[in-house]
Amino acid sequence: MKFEEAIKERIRKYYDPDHDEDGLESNSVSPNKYDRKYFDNFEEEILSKKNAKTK
Amino acid sequence: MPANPNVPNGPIPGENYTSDTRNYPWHRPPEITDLEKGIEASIKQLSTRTGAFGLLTSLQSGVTIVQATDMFITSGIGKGKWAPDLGLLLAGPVARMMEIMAKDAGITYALGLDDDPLPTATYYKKQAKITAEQATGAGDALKANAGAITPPQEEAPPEQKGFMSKPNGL
Repeated sequence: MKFEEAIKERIRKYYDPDHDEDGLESNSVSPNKYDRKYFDNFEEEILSKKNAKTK
Repeated sequence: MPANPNVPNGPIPGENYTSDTRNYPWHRPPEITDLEKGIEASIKQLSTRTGAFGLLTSLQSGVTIVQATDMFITSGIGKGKWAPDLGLLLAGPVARMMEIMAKDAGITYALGLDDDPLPTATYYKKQAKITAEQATGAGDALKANAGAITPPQEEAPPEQKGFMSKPNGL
């Protein structure tokens, strides 16, 4: 597998809602601050601010 | 004494052990070894004026999120910021960050996760119907019409007169 394919596969698993990221978090020393929920909330905050500006 | 052209010019076996490669960034220990710090550094770089402009311009011109992420991660490895292993862990959050930036800018982007479509049986059947005569005929037609494309004729430079003009005969 080439590195580009590994990157693509990694991104595919990251976007897969069925793929559980807990394995990574349970093995880490400290909980990961920037998990999927963080980016979902961040996106919602950014887009809501943008919609509020356009109104 | 002239060099013998039959002797190949290349590195001798074991020469790499004597060369100094510590100056390459990717041969030194990486700067970032923590995933959280890697994500913060990536967000910081993507949030800069030049970083954001380059990213959004690339996405607008057709580069997919996956390709942009690959370039970003690979450039970080080349600069000695992170190792390839951490780069793979960063790929997901970096792609997500790029997607959010594209949505915020209102850019139509492509994620790039879809695999290239495989040729179908219909494609192979139609390809099998192309004969050798048709292929050569297409090539001949292209050659015949090649003369219709004429390069733009260069205009002759205006004749210069005066003391500094080009003397005749030169």
